[in-house]
Amino acid sequence: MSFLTPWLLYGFGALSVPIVIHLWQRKRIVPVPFSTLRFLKIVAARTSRSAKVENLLLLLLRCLIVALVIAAAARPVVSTESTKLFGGSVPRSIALVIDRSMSMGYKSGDETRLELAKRQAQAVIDDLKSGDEVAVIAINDQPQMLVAEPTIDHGVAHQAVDSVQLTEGRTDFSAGLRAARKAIGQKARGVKQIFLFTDNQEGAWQFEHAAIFDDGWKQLNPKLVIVRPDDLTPVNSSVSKVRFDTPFAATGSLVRGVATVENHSAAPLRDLIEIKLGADRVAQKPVESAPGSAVDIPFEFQAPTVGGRWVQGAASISGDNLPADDRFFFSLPIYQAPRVLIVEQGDGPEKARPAFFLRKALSAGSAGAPTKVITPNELDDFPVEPYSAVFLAGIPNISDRSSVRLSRYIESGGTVVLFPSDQTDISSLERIDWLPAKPLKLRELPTGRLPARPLEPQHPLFADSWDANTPFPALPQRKMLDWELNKDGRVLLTLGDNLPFILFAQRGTGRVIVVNASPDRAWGDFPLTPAFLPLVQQIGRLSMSRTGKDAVLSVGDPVPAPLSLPLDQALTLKTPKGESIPIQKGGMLIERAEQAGFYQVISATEGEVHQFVVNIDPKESNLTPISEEALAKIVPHETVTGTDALRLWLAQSRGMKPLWPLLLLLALAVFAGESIYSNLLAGKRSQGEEAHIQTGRLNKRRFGQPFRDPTTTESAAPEGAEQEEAAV
Amino acid sequence: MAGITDFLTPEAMRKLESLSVRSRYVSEGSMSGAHKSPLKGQSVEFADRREYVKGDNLRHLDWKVFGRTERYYIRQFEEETSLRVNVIIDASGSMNYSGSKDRPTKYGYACRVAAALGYIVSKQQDSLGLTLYDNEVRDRIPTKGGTRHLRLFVERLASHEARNVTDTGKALHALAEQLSRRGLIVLMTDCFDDPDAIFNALAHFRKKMHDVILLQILDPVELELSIDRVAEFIDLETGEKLEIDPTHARLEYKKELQKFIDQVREKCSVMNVDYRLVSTSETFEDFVHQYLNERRRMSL
Repeated sequence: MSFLTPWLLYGFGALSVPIVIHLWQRKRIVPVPFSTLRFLKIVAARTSRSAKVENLLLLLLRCLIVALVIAAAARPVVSTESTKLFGGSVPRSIALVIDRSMSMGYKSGDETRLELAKRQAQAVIDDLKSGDEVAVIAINDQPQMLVAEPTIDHGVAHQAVDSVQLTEGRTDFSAGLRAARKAIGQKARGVKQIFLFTDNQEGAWQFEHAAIFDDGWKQLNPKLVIVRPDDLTPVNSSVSKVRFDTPFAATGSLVRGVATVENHSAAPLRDLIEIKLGADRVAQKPVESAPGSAVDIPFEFQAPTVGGRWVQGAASISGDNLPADDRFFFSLPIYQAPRVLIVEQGDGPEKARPAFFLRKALSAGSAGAPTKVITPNELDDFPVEPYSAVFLAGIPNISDRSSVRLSRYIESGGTVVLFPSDQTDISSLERIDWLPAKPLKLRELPTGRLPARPLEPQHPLFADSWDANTPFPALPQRKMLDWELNKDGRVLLTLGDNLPFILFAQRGTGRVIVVNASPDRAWGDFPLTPAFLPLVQQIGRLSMSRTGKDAVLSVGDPVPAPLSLPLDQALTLKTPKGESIPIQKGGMLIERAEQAGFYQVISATEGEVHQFVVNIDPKESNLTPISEEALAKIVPHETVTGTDALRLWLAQSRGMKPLWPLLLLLALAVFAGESIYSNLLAGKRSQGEEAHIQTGRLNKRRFGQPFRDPTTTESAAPEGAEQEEAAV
Repeated sequence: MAGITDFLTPEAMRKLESLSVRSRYVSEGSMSGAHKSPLKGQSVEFADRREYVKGDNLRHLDWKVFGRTERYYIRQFEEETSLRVNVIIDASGSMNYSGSKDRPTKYGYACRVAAALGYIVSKQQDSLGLTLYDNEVRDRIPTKGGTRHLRLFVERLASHEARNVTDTGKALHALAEQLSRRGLIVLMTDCFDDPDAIFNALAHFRKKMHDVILLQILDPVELELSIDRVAEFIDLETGEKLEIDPTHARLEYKKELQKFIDQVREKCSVMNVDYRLVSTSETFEDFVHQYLNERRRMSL
């Protein structure tokens, strides 16, 4: 016989309670002066022994009840004869797969679910017999082989389980189960079991099932036991996303954004969301969300005086049992002057060049954009990635090589602006598929100003410059190209009779803008109009914001190096924990982001050149376990919930039978017996209370009867007395 | 100095005034009174006739019989005399028991009953005597009538307290020898003594033709053993100790006590002793009132 919760056997100390009460009652005997002990002595000789026996029996029965209840609470199990004969000594090869994903940080009471899972894993190791083998694997979306080769050294397994640490990663069982199968498949001894200690989130099972539970799995046929740390219904909410409507922050500017809060609980959520920049709280909003729903909370704040190129911040709600997902990190770029590359054909005096007006317009003002001018031929090899915008100023054509490079540049977030001119070979533009439209022919226009009509007045290109009160001015254009819009091309502004003047297309995270005017005065006096300078500068500002937004990175994701990185310099990556990792040229920034927080790319010469944010995978916040029916369709398994149930399962799997139901029944029977016996004794005692001695009764005999001495058979009355008394 | 009012309230005295103590048998008083005497004398109660002898008072000659038979017969009348009431109280240690502070001890209860009887006896102009005993006669007042004697009677009652062991046989035998004239004996005791010695003593009184009343006075706790926890009982007379759980022993105790009481009652019945078991939970004036009325009805 063994016990599943042997520490409860200390409860046998409670046996002292009835004994102490019994002895204490004996101590409370009080002296009672009494008239005579004559009858009590007779009775004591008769009853004291039986009273002692009765009391002792009652004490024994009560102690027995306590002992049986304590023994039952310790959950004894006994082995059956059949187990000893057949199944008792079959060796086992088991793999302990421990989920260490972020969701296992959920606090169940004082302990996290991971701590419970580790304790349960230790219990499984404790249950092993000396010849049984065990492998230990920690998983989130990737396995960590702590004991890769199954070992019979259970101490090593204990240490491995102890060493499992919580991560911020997501859960994906595919790799872990494959590793577990591989581990126990190496030495197929006896019974093969895989214990998966997890909160069993639905998302963890979203993989190609047939690839894992394939013929190899079926051939090995391991018994999969899913051990859930508890059966609590988790209460969790998270900040799953932060989106900014303002592309960048400048000192004092109003920044608007939206934070998404998801309520994964079955109860309504009432909370506060805080927006913090560094340690300063800049916004606070109440959050109310229905069960199982998400709510967008708009917020705004005045951007503080900032240094560097990014503002780091976080949106957070007050903590719950899973604090890791209550905070969402964000990094907001600070406005920087655009760096512009101008491609133009021709030489001669500066004023005679096509891009003269563009250079002047871009460099105007205090925040003028630094510009670089190259020829179309140089474009084939010139690195364009460090520039926010490339202006193609009336170049004759675009080579295929340049076109491909520009296409990649646009996809990665760059802005290309095309100003056609008389030198431009229209047929060469037709081949370029990243333009918003295909040019058809050059059109001569009548003299005079053509009224402008914005088709998308809310477009950022027109923001802060033109609206209904200050309309885009009429333009004196003499020539314009006819265009055939591509599928995703848009016309932002038309002139005259719906002649497209500004064409726009989104490509990846970048954009392409076509201004249907020559950069010089060849097609008209547009460069001399008041609309030219603000439009060009607005294009420059727009090029600093990535319309497609950065990809949202989650823990566990690979992080590619952005094209804009100065790869010719020595770069290091600083992780949220402060570790510095050198970046290999041509490789990923980091193969796998293990922590949530801010990552900085630091150049030895320029300082911080790039920054990105990694957050918890929002799917990991949904703690709802997969249903048994759904899981049964995926793989045959058994689910055990809680440590006690696991111990019982282990015992039963070894052919042990639980003894505690019998002990509880026995305790119940003894309790009933004790109650009956107590009632019998009480009834017996109440008989003594109910029996009353009658007082006051006179002799039955009539008065005046003659006296007879009871000590003699004959009357001892004096002679004549009888007659006297009879007479009376 | 104790007086009758220490034992009887005016209300109780008024209640007792209508009662009388009578003997069931003839008594030998020293003064003429309302009680039957074994002697034939001058009274209105006709008793018998006898032949005339010289010297008889001719006033009692039955002329009607003489007229029919011409023989002289004398009409005899019963002599009525006063009653001698001797109250005997057990003043041993066991009588000093009370199961509750609200109740008197058994000795105290006996004293109150004695005072009530004394008051009635005194009121009906009869003689009253008192004997207190434990293992011997402790105090004795010979029978006498009158208010002053009643005062003495009460003072003696109040001046003693119950103690010592009991030896009823020795004490009562000695007393029986001293009481030469027939009268009424009222013995108040708890009978917690050798029963044979008690019965022998009672037989001694009965042999001397006394009308004997035995009042066995017990406390309700003695009757019911109504103690609900394990206790160490200490004998009030011997100081002996015994630990026992009354809840266990109660039934058996009552059986034993009942057996003893039945034995006393049976013996008293055989000896024609008027026996009564009295509980101190009953007020003494109610008891006296009820008892004397009942006794009067039974003797009719």
